[in-house]
Amino acid sequence: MRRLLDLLRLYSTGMRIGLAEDLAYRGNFLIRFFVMFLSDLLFPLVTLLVYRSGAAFPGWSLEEVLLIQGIFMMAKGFANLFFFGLVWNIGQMVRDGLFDLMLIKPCSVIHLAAATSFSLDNSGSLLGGLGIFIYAVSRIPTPGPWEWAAFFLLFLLSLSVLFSFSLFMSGTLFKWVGNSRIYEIFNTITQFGLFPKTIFSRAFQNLLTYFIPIAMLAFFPAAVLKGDKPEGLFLSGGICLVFLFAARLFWYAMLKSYSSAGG
Amino acid sequence: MLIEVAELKKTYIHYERGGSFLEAVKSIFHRKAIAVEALKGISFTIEPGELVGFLGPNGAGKSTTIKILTGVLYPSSGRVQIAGYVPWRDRMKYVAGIGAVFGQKSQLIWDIPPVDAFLMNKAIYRIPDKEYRATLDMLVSLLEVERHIKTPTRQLSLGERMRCEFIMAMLHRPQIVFLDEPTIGLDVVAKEKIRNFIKKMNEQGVTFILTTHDLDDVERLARRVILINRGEIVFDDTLEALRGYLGKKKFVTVRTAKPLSTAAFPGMEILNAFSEYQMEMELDTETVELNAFIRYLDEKYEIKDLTVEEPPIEDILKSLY
Repeated sequence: MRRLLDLLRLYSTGMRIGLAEDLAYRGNFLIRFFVMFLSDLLFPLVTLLVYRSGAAFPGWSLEEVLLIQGIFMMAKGFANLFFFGLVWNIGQMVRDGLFDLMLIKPCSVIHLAAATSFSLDNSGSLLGGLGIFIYAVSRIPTPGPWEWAAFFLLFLLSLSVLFSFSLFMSGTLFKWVGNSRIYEIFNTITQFGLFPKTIFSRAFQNLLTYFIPIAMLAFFPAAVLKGDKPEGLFLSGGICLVFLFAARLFWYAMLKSYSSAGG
Repeated sequence: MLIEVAELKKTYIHYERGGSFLEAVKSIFHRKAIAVEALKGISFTIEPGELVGFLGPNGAGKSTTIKILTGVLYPSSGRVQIAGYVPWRDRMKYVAGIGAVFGQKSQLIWDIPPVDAFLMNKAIYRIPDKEYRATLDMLVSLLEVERHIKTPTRQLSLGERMRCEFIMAMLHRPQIVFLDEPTIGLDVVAKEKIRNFIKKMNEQGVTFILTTHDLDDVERLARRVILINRGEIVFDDTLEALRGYLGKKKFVTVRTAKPLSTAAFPGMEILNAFSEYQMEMELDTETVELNAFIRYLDEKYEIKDLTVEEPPIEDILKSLY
């Protein structure tokens, strides 16, 4: 309990400082906020165009696909806001030799790096995703309490997958300093999560469900919310936990190879 | 004993790559690994309340030692015990009791005032409100930064910033503080304020390990000096012992009423003849007594002015590096 309170204190202070930093340059803050908001609307707009032109993802209505994309944007928006910044934070600090300063603090380096990377301009994605999500939910049959409960549980697993990705990515930066293309690789992989997994080949579906649990990012939470019982859900949930465990192990193993910068 | 270091070794693996285009392409497929021994088995101990100067030329292994002692790096082998902890193994518990100031690495946040950045350390070290306020007031007053802690960091001068760095590092009242070039780039006034602060904190029982190239820092602060070169400790004793390392030499500059050109004395060597009446001499006090030499000069040449100086510490270090 005390550890949890300490962690909450750390994050709330990080948020307060992040906000103070954001407001030091208000113009930049507003521009970044709207750029994030608009750039993340690209995929839902493309989906709208696809459906307006008469095409469709087989077995999925426009609102159901928007539901997946809204959840995907919310999960990524939440991650960007609260913990994904640890990838940039660690990358920058390792390159500049400032990561040493993180290691001399008596708290989890992972949480410290995440808490000190809070930036409110990333909230554009979260708000955009929330808007699409509310619109899509209002257009599908109303989910019951069990559907909502299952959704929230799976949304947590979705965040855990993104957290695992952030650990894998930041972990590589201890060894391969200056790996600037890592976010593009991550983005390419996770974008498969924007679409219903059933549109892919069987082998690829298995890859997205049981190997790299991309399907958990938005497909599974959306499916339970609209009342489906998708195949492989429970196993994929377990895989998410294994993925998180492996990411944590990987991160600490890579930390041991951190050699600091000269001087 | 507060700090015990035994047979500490650290080997880095570097990759060699040539500058030509061909070698750059070749390095994509194969890079030649080179093992660099940064520390070759150093050992030393430090008692509570000591203020130790840790000196050495660039690349000697100072920073590697400090990084291992602060838990930042894992050693290749050897043993370190600080206040009952092994820094890299018990990192979280251990670092709660240490502080560090790196002259070239800031803990402050560029766009916001230091007082806001201090709150991050308050949360990290779980400092209760009352204790935080009391410590902050004490440090702010000692370092004379009342006006500066509320100004955005980017608008502070280097000296003001560095004093705020000390507050950041000492808010949790650490018992051991590692200082890496804390006065680098500062003017004499700012240096003096920082040195006075270190002295006061040391008087209160805080142990300091000071890494610096500024020998004034060492002369004014350290009682003990550890010299490291090429990964090995080449000297570990008091500052006085370091001074005596080149033998008991003194530098005498004298101006006389009569021409000094005939001056000759066993154990004396003329270094500079500014004029017939003014010269700089090196005196080996193991061969000749300083009093006897001064008497000789006065009786034979009639002294008008005289200064006696210790050999510059730089000369001693150069001989050890």
